[in-house]
Formats: sequence, C-alpha cells, structure tokens
Amino acid sequence: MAIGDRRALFQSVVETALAAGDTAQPEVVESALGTPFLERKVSLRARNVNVFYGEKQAIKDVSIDIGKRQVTAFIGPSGCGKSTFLRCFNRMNDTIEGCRVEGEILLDDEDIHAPEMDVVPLRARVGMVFQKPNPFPKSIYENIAYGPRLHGLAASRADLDELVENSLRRAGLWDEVKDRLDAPGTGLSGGQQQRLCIARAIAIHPEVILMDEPCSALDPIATARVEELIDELRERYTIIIVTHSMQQAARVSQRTAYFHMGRLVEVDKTERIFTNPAHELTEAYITGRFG
Amino acid sequence: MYGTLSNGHILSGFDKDMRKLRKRVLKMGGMVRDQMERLQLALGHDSTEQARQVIEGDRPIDSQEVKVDSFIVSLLARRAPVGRDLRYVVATSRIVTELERLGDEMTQIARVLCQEPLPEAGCDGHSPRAEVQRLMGHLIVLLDTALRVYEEDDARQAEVMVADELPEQIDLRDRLKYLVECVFDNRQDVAEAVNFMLVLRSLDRGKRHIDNIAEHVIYLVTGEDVRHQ
Amino acid sequence: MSKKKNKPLVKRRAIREAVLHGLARRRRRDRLLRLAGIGAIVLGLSFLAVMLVSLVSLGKSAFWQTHIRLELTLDPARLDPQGNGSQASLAAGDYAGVIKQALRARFPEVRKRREKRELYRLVSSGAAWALRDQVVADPELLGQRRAFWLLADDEVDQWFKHGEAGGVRLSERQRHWLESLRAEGAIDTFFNWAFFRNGDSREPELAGIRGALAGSFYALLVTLALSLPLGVAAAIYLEEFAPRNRWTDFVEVNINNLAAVPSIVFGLLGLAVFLNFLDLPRSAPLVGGLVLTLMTLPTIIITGRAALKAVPPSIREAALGIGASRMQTVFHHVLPQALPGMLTGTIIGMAQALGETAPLLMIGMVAFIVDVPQGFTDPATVLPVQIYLWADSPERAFMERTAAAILVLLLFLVLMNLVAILLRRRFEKRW
Repeated sequence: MAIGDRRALFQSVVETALAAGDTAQPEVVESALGTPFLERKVSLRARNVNVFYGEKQAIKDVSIDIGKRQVTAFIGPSGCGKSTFLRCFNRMNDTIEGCRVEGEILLDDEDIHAPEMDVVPLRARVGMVFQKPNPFPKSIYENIAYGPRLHGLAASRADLDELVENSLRRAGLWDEVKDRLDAPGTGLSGGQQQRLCIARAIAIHPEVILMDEPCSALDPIATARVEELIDELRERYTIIIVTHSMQQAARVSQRTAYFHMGRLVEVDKTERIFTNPAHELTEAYITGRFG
Repeated sequence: MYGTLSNGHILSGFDKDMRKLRKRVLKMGGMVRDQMERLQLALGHDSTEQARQVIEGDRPIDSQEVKVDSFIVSLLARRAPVGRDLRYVVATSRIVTELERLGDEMTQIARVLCQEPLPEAGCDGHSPRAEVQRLMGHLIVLLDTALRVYEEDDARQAEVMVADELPEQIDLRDRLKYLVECVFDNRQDVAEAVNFMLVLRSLDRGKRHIDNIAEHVIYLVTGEDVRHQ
Repeated sequence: MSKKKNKPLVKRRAIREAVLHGLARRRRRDRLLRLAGIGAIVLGLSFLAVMLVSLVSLGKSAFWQTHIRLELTLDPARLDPQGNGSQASLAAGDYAGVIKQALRARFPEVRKRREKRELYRLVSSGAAWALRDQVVADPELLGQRRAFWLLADDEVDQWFKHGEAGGVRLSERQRHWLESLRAEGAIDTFFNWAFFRNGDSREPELAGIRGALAGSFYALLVTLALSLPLGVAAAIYLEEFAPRNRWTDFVEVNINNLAAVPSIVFGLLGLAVFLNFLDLPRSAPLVGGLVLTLMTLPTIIITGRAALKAVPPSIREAALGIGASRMQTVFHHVLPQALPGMLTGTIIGMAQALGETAPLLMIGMVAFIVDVPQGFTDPATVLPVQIYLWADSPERAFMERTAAAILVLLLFLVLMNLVAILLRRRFEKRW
C-alpha cells in the first residue's frame, strides 16, 4: 500500500472518530501500524525505512508513528534490528561504515535523512542514552555543561550553573551529587552514571530522547530508579526505549513495537501487546515460546 | 498439548506448571460432576441418605478450590505470565470459582431434598422429581461440554454455548421456565412449592455457571471479554 | 538406597581418581613452565648485568684524567711578547715554551735532544692552551712562580691508571721520570671535566662528547618538531576520519612496512633527497633530524593509532550523541584520552632516534668535527656516531672513552623511558 493511501486511511479513521465525539484514541488495529494517532500527537513519523549494512539488510520496510510525550518501547529478539532502527532517529548510523538508510523519517515534517539536514542540530533535538553508562572522564559538572556549552545555550556562568542544576534535578540526581560536582562522573555508581547520562541528554532540551537498553548494565534497584525517571520525563519528552526486558517495556511504555528479523511485526498500546497481541510472532516472543 | 503454537515454552518448567494447573482444574471439574451424578441418583431413589452424601461431598471440592487458587497465585508470582498465558491463568482462576459455585448449588439442592421430598404430582403428569432428575442429566452433559471446551481451547463450541444454542440448553431453559410457571399455577402446599422453587433456582444458577465457563474459555482463546453482552 | 542411585557415585570416584592421577603431571608441567620463564628472565638480566658491569669497569676511568704538577715560572717576557698585557698579546705568548722550560728545570739531567723530546711528550699539547686560557683570564698571574697541575699525555694517563699494562708506548726513560714524579706526589687524577666540555679531538686526553651531545640535541629537536605533529595528525586522520577502503588499507600496509625498513635505507633517501636534490648542508643536524623523522614517523603513527583505538567507543558515541561534530569529539574527548599513549610512543620513537647511527653515516654526520655545533646547520655528529668513531680509533685511551660515551647514551635512554612512564602515570591517574 502506498504511503499516501495509508495516511489517508488513518486520517479518515481519526476524523470519523472525532466526528462521533470520541476524543479517546480510536480502537482500530490497522495492520502493523497499530492504533492510529491523532495527527497532532505524532512526534516522529517513519515511512518505509530500509537500513543496509553493506549487502545485508538490517531493517526492512518499517513504517511507524511515534507518539508525542509518551514512551514507545521497541522489543524483539537479539539481532532483530531494533537498536539499528533506533539509531536512525538521530542518524547515529552515519558513524557506521557501510551503513545505508533509505525511506523517510519525519521530525516535524522535516526529513532527517535529507542531504541538507545537519546532524549537529538534529542531535540537539534528538538526544540519546546508551546501553553502557558512558559519562565523559570529566567532572559531573562538566559532563552536564558540555552539551549546553557546545550549542551555546548558556550566556553566562550563572546560566550554566542553573542549567546544570535543573538538569540534575530533573534526572533526580541533584541531591546525591550537589556536594561533589567537581568529582569525576566516572566515580559514580552505575545507576547514578546512567542518570547522569540522562541529565546530560536533557541538558540540551531535546524533543526526543532515544534510549538503547539503558538498564541492561544496572541492578534492579538502579533499574527501578531509572524507570521512575523515565516515567517522569514522559511529561516533557518523547521517549523511545529499546529493551530486552519485556517486563520493563510493560512497566514504562505506553506503546510497544515488536520487531522480528528486521521487520516491524506489530505496534500497539502496551497493555494490548502484553495481554492480547494481534500477531502470533509477538505472542510467541512475549510468552517465551520463541523457537 | 497446551496452547495452539507447536513450540513449547523455553522454560520447560513453565509448560509443566501450566499442564499441572489444567489437570487440577479438570480434577476439580470431575469432582463436581461426581456430585451431580450422586445427586441424580439421590433423586432417582428419593434417598435422603444419598442426598446427605452429596452435602458431605462438597468439602473436598472447597479444599481443591483453595489448592488451585494458591497454585495460581504462585504461578503469577513466579512465572509472571503475559499474553495468552496471562489470560489462561486469569480465565482458569475464574473457572475455578464457577466450578466451586456450581458445587455449592448442588449442595443446595441436596439440602432441600434432605428437608422435604419434592411434590409428587406435576403439572403435565410428569413427576417433578423425575423432571429434575432428567434436567440434572442435561446439566451433566453441559458440564462435560464445558470441560471439554476448556481442555481443548475450543472457542467455536464455546461460542455456541454462550449463544445458548445447545439442545440441552434449550430444553433445560424451556423446561425450567415451564416448571416455574407450573408451580405458580398449581397452588399446592406452600412449603413444597418453595422447596421446588429453590431446586429450580439452583438448577438455573448451575446452568449459568457452566455457561460462564464457556465465556471464560472464549476470553482465554481470543482475548475478548464476552460477559454481560 | 537402590543400586541405581549408587552407580554414578562409583563412576564419580573413578573420575576423581583419574583427575588426581593427572594432577601430579599437570603440576610438574606448571612448575616447569614457571622455571623456564624465570630462567629466561635470569638469563636476560645476567646478560644485561654483564654488559653494564663491563661498560662501567671499562668506562669509569674515563671520568678521571691524569695531571702532572710542575713549578711554572710565568715569565712576562715570553708570555706577553708585546709587553702591554693586552688580551691579544697574552694570547700570542709561548706557553708551550714555559712548560718545556719547567720540565727541563725539573729534570736537569736531560740533555740530549731526543731525550728532551720524550720529556716534553709527558705533557699533553692541550696543557699549553689550558695555561693560556688561565693567564688570559687572570693576567695577575704573570711574573709569578707557582705550581700548576698540567694535563698529562694519554699514554701517561693510561700508565698512571692501569700501571704497567697501560702506556705501552712509553719508553724506559719516560717511565723512570714518571716514577720520580709519582714518588713526590706530583702526578694525580682529577675529574675529567674536559670530557663533557670538549668536542672531538685527535688527542684522547682532549676528546669530549659535548659536540656529539649538541649534535644529538639539535637533530632530536628537529625530529620531535616534525614527527610529533605529523605523526599525531596522520594517526588521527587514519583512525578517526579516513574511510575504510582499498586506498587507506594500502596506506596502512605501507606505514607498517615503513616501520620495518632498515634504517640505512632512510639514510640513502636522505642523501638523495635532502643533500643531492635539495642541496641542504652536509653533516648538519637539520638533515639528520629530517632523516630521523622519516624513521620515527611510522613508530609514532602506529603507537598513536593504537592509543586512539584504546579509547572506548562509548566516549565517541556520547559526544556524537550530544551533538558534537566529529572534530569536536576527537579534540575534546578522544585525543585527551589517547595523549599519554601517544606521548609514550613518541618518546620511545625519540629514544630510538637518539640511538640511531646507520642513516646518519650516509649524510655525512660521521665526519671528524672538533667544534661544538651552534645551530641546526653547523656540521655536527651525534652521540652514537661519536661512539662508533672512537671505537674505531687505535689509541687505548679512546677505548675507555667509548665505554664512557656509551654509558652517557644509556643514561639518556633510561631517562627518556622514565619520562615516558611518568607521563603515562600522570595522565592516566586523572580519572
């Protein structure tokens, strides 16, 4: 089906729902794209995305809408392409040799893979948190201040101080580190390091935060804290999280997308994916009956 | 084999637990069915002794219910099932409750039988006792069907049951309606009439519990909740 | 217990016995390997010890030099020919004559011309120059008569230091005179400042390493100034920016091969390009530095790339993910992390260059140069070449100077490696 057709279909579904006075999201499952969104609630829109590593195709014709100010989880078995696809949203795949991305990904109707799009402002709008906590080998303060300084977000030292404090507060780390801002960021515990990385990402006021298995290196308590933080951040940011833990996806996300062998099998509200997924493969994966 | 997918769970213990759960529920179903057969006999022989046995027989069912329930809780805690597994465990928990209630209804009928025999004369020449005995046979058939539907995840058959379209259901429904009207028409002994009404009500409730089992099976298989529709 | 349950226990015991049986042999092998390793280290260390001991025992005497005490009459008529006491007049004085006169006065029995010549030869020709420098610096000395310690000839030096085994070219008469000098304590050794102050000389007692040290210093300065920025830039480009394709593979293979090219080939290249084609001065530290740059560049590039590779990619991802450009990523985060490793590689490359001889022979740094070089284009030699030159000289006194020069070279190499270690420690301790 052509993109235009599908979008038109969604539009009509949404309009019908609105006309009927139904302000809730309409319960219509439309193939892999899942429950359609109201237009104004879409933050990122991917259409027919293909990713190649040399000859090998890692992502096959994936189309998905990412809702604004909600958490979307990407789940799927190892090697299903979820991390690869996540990295398309801030063009981190550019750094990988031989990686080619086709199709369009729209952020506010701008194609982020367009040749005239510069990755630097893009990455200021789409932040990222990585699997392993990777603070810079600098002080806690410098870790947060680096991004704003890079993009010229703070006019004075006082501004910068305030920005650092706000970011750390929002990441729930301020009380733990306010007395040792000059201490090295690498000296924090794993969970604190990861929250520091989240604080660093939100210091440049992104619209979207990509998280690539942010808790895989953390213990359950640290994981819970990060999850709590994700839940709080949802009020301001669009969050996409790749996770190997289905429980985590169930806990933190509002929508869940299941990937399998480079294809998007199913995307829907999280509660639906975890109680009654539409696709057999999703069912097999989430219940642990994956061949 | 549990489930529709040919692949088993990666944790073989998971599937083992699920099978154990099904086995225990079916065992409980069997216990209730035994009660119903005993009650049918008691009706046939008009024996208060056998009716008393039925009252006695409810206790093992209750303890089986407690056993299955605690097993379900441990399953939820340890295996954290999702998707179809979650629906299966939840539906099973509900089915266990239905079975226990069904058992209670049978006890209720037995209690009535112990107190006072049913009226001898019926409305259309049939003896109410023989009538109840016949209807009890219907109920047993329906329970068998419901248990088979549960065992085989047979959603299609379950839908037929939910639609109330099995011949036993139709007959049971019609006869119950008729008998109730009959009791109202033939004003005989008030006590007898009340007893008879109680038996009929229990039969009706038993049928509803069995119907509910079918609803739970539909939820289990399709994820759709068809209750209260 | 049923039989069935006992069965695996029996089997398990058999397995345990088999393991115990093999254990003794395994331990023996472990011990053997450990002993072999210790043996190898002991052997290596003993070779090193033998080398150091022989060098020190051979070279230590070069740091002391024999002097002869003579009563000199600083006759103004001889030493101030113009009679005005001016610097020029004092510099033109006949100091050798004064010394000869003093020798004749000390040994009045010497009459024959041949004997006199033998007598004069006890004192180094450098003694007269040293005396002149002293008098020019302090004209008050004129007219006085006092004792001076004069630099002895190298044969006298060897005789005094090593007894009959040294000074083989001394005649019976000379030995006799020296005995009488020794008897009255007029012959002794002093610390050999000249070894560090002088350039090369035909006379062993006058020869020093200052010229060679200066030459090495200038050459290494050129090498460092060129190879560090070039090497670091090349390493950064290849590791961080260059696309992986056939062309960069080719460059990489060539850099690795370049590190294995015999150093004399670089000398030939230097001769052809820098001297013949570019017409740069022969024997100059500038050219030497250029040639050494060619030689150390591959080392620096390879170690630099290794240091960059060792920086965890997560740091790069973090910087890129926050919106840093690739250049900002490299210069703000990757390079500071890699710098200690790069500097270590550079210093090791420099140490290599310091010890290099072969390529410098090809560009004329092997010439006999007495003057200490004052700049990059003055003719010069370098320490290892100086060692090579002295090792080639027939005089016995040059042998100990060779050993002493080697000790100095080794000292510098150890110091450079020490700096490398300290640098690495200091930078790596930061976080």
